[in-house]
Amino acid sequence: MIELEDVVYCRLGTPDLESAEWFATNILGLEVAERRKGAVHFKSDSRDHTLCYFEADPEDQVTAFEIGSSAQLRAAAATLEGLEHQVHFGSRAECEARHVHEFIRFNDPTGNKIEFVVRPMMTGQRYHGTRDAGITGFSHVGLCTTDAERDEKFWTTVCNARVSDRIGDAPLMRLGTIHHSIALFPFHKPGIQHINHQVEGTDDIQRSHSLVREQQINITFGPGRHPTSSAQFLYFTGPDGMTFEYSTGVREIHDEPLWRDRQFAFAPAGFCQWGAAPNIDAFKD
Amino acid sequence: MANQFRDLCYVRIATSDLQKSADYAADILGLQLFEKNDETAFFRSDDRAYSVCYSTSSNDNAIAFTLATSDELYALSEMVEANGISVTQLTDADCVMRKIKSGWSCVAPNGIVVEFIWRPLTSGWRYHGPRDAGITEFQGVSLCCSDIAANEKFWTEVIGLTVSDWAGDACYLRFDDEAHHRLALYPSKKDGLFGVGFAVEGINNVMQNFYFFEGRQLPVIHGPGKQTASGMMFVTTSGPDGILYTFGAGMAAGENRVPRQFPANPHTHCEWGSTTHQTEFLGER
Repeated sequence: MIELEDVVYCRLGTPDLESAEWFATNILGLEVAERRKGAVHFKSDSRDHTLCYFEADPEDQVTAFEIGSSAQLRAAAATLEGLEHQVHFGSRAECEARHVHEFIRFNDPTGNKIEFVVRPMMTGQRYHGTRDAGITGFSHVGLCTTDAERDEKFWTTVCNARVSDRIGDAPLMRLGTIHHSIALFPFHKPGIQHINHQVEGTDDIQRSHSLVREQQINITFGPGRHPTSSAQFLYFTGPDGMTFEYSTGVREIHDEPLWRDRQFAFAPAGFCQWGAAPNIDAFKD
Repeated sequence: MANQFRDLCYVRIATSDLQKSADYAADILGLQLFEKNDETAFFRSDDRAYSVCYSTSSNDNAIAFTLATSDELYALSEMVEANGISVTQLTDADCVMRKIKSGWSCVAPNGIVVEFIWRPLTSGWRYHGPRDAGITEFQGVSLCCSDIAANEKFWTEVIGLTVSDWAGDACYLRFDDEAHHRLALYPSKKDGLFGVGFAVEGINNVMQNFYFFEGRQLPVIHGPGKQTASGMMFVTTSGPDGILYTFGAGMAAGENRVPRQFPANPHTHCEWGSTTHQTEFLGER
């Protein structure tokens, strides 16, 4: 069993790095951690960075998870190779670019690019956003799946994810105590379906709703509240069509042996208990 | 002078179409019909026999405050008369119609009838609305005033309410420590009853009511938003005869302190930044 600690960063290819940086700072409210040739790293919490935009095809997207030790990373690589996944060990230059000690890259069964990293860099500097979005940190990622049953099995039996709830066939899975760190949404191709940042409270969701609307950003869902995780949310569209979510008040699961995964409807009522309807492809039939 | 009133007991709204108003109260607001005859319809929102009355028998809108004893009722009428304001005793028939033991009325500078009453009828039955709007009680009333200074003077110096805060010249008035305000006065081109507010359990109900309005293509006049001075999250729609109806949650308690002056701008009326065309909520007349 591959023990994943948490989701640590996403890397998104973009043909227009300048526009992506504008959006990440002025709309999302992230802080530039580092600019390097062809890439910009962004902070959302006390970690070195949790998002990277780099000059590449926008379909070039990576999601990274932390693994506890070098030995566990090597064991994970062996496990994946045993399952006939091609595993790439990160070069020194690649590790340096990611601010991690070491990492491996492979594709999940759908073809999503995944990195498992060891010792991702922390900073002593607190995140201070470009605008006061109230962000407390990068929290979870939604991945597209071309076969939800197969991929749920991968994340829960090869790796240590546990299903907290399902919306239709889409599993919301936890790695720690947070209701979900990964969610899989059925779609016809691989990719990151959405990127979530937590914010402090209701006021931040609602104020950002006003700001995002004034900036004529495409709001795709919300403000609403998920009946699954109990989180209040807002979804909107960023550069290259990426869906970003703010949420607050996500449920934590501490009674691990007692929790029973629940089935919710793949319909607006399963996604929002306030009455909002999603305008997001992967959230619709 | 503070705390002399037990509650803001009811609002009586003149209507030309009783059935239309009654249908709106039940179907849209979720109020519970208590009693209806050819001229009046009484609706419940809490333990009271009624908190909203629609009537075709008069063109005047009225609000009523409850006093604890008949002595206090009498003393206040003497005091109001001593200020040169004429007072009308309610007849036995008036009292039966209002479901009170006794009372008197006067007219505020903005033309609304103000009734002071003793022993209003309590239902004793739990309020159970025709739809789950989440109402916990009749929260309060707002008035529009072409002469804001005269009205503030009437309510504070004559009637004895206390200013909690000002938003420009708009003024929030309280009479107990339960609520930041029960009465709000807005500078306006018009005079009279402006809006009626109901407290709901929490943000879930505020937002569910917002999507309920949207789903029925009812006008959302203001919100979903949060009133800066009182902390109340709200959504406001407009009903028959142009009366605004608000569902609110999270209003601060009344605090014995110096009233604060907030600016006359949209951000004071909504700190979440919701948009509105209602000039009174823009800090304009």
